[in-house]
Amino acid sequence: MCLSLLLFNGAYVLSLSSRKKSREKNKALMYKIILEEYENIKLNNKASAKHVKFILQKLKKIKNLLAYYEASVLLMHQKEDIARYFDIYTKYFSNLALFYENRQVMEKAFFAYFLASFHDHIHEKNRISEIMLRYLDNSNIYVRENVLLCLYSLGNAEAIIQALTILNDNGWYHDKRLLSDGLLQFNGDKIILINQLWEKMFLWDENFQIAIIQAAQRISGNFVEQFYNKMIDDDISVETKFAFIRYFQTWYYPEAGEYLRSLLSEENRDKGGLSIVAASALINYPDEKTHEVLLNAVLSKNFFVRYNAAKTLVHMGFDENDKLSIINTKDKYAIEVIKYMTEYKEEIEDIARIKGVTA
Amino acid sequence: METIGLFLKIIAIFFLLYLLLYITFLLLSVIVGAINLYDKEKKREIKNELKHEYYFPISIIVPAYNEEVTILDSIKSLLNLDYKLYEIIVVDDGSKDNTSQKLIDHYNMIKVDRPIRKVLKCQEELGIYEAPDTNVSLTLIKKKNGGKGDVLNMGINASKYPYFVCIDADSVLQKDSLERIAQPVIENENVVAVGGYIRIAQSMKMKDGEIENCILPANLIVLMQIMEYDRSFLASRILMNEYNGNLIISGAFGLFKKETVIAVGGYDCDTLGEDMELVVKLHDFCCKHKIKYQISYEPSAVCWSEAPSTLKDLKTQRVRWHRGLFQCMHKYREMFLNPLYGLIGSISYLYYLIYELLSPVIEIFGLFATILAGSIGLLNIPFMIRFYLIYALFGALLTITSFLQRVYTQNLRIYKRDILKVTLLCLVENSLFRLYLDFIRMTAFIGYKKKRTDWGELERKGIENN
Repeated sequence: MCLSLLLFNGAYVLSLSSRKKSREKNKALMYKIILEEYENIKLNNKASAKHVKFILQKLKKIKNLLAYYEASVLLMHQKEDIARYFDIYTKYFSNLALFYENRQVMEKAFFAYFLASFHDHIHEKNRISEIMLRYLDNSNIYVRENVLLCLYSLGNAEAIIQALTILNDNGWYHDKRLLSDGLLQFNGDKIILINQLWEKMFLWDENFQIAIIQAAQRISGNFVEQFYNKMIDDDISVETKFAFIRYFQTWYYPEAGEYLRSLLSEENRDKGGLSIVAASALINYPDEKTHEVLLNAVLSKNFFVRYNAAKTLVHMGFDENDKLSIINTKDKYAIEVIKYMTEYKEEIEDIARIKGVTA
Repeated sequence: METIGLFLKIIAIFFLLYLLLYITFLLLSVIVGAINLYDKEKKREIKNELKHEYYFPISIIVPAYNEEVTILDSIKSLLNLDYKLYEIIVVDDGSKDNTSQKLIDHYNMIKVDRPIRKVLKCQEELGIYEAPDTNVSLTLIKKKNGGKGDVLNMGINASKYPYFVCIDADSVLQKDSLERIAQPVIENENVVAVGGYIRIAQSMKMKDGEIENCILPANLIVLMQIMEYDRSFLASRILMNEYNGNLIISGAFGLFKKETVIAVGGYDCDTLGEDMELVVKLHDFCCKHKIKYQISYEPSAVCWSEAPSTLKDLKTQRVRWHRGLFQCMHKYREMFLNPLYGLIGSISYLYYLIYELLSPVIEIFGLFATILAGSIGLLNIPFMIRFYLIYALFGALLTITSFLQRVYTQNLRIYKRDILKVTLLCLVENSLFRLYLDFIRMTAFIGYKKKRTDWGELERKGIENN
């Protein structure tokens, strides 16, 4: 057993360069075949039976599919009008999708990724979306991620909702960062997508809710009203509330400002949790009331509330009177954090000034 | 005479079992390692990975004690990682050389009065400096000497982000290492720690801060350690990872969830094996509180670390490791065969107990027993030679196999002359080098009471000079 393992590893090491060469050769061959067919399309404007057979037969091998994918990506960069070729041939990809549905997960995952690369040329979007949703049965995390990538790129909001429902119902974990960034790649109206997801998201796990709010934060401020009404609801989880507060750090909504200030009131400021995030989020609400609330929050017993409040305060504008008022409190920790924030800011500005002069 | 004969017979049976179990474990490790690494390589080739432009912010903590030779190279490489958001915190543990000054001068660092929230116990800071010009936030904290655990606790206290990576000041991370070590966290929400693959820096050539090539060095001591490291990182750690049973994440490179580390009380400041102690403590804590958790190992996250190149330095390092191992095994002895810990308390603990902690005693005792049996004519010499040869050859084969497995983790070339070198030297490593290590580890307890927290000093040459 050990000997066979040794031989396998040895052969693998020795075959490395030849494998690389063979992969390059295969890619070059695919490049040539696609290019030839592209020339044929320019002349006849229709698919050739030979090339259809090639797609349906040869691309069933993962090695060929990989080479085809690499050659296609290269051609898409090199030739703008190669789109005509893909417009014609991507319709045969749905047959391949059916074939890969029954393959092992690793190949299924790659095929979903492969399809996502051709989304602009795929016409049978609903059919492909249906097949992709079926890929989620007996899947692993890579299949799920690549299926979602494919669905985002196809711009099918209904299918995305179905996919997320499947993930949620099966209790499959999918990282919120991957989900929120994925939603940003949606090939369609993202505001409509978020509104559609909004209808369902509170039936799902907190992880999905946060991902959707995070995506919304980077998409639009159109959701301020509905988000605010939900944020003040006591039934939602703390983590979801954090996400809402961060949304309002980006998008201004006066009522949200009031709520954030209330989180830093004297009775709340020492609690930590929400008040920590609120102290940062208030940077988007610079007015006298906020200024006063932050001056008080610097006296919080919670290190992070103090730290964030001081940072926001200094960023918003902090004068000598403010400094004196903090010093007069004789709160050692508040003085320390304000000193750090103001002095460091001044030193950085000094360096920038010196550099500007010498430049 | 009969009693001695019976005694030696029992010893012989014990040794046969001991060696057979060890070689079986090694074989299993190499097989599981090969399958796992091959599978990972294939997955990467066909886009089966969770690629993300922005994973999560990470604080890199670099403990430094008398590292003036290596610190600038190390920080230079850390500032150029392919990762979107991270900070670097260098904690100088009261160095007697110019470690801090070198950093302050090179990066024009400014002294600041930054407040630090001391959630974990550590020595007072003497000064905090921040670099205003670097693209990545770089902080230096000078503090009173308190040992490695203490330094790391200070780094955790000062860190801004929810995950932290600890890396030795004499180590260099590959550009994609942070991305790689972050991936298990993205894949599984229960991951609380991830260990990286430590490779020996003397076998690597760097150009402009990037790894250019990997050739085995001429220094035999370093070469033996390379074989030893590959056997551990490309085989046994992968096997233990299969059942969440790794008891160690090397202090040279590991990622941790800050919240969980704080919950267990951070690093122990009174042990020499603070890296192992933390991992075992995490197992202990999560098992006792019935928390779903995973301690992962990611072989594609590579860190290059300088290995001792003289026998004196090697001795210092191994004695420290062995003392640390003893302290940790002793502290968590309740884990042994305790059903609460599952396979960790049985297989992992047993492995570390017999094949790591007690192996020097067992193996040297075995050697003396063989000599004794031979001297009173009770030894079947032809059988013993045949058995030993089979054992040594088998062990050597496994060493070569695990050495070749490095091909799956990197796109670096393996040279034929390197394969030849390993083939020629693996027998020496498997018998003589191992025996030498047994002897020096045996000495670990001489003067233990006085030196139980003494790290000893190693000579550093610096990555660029190797």
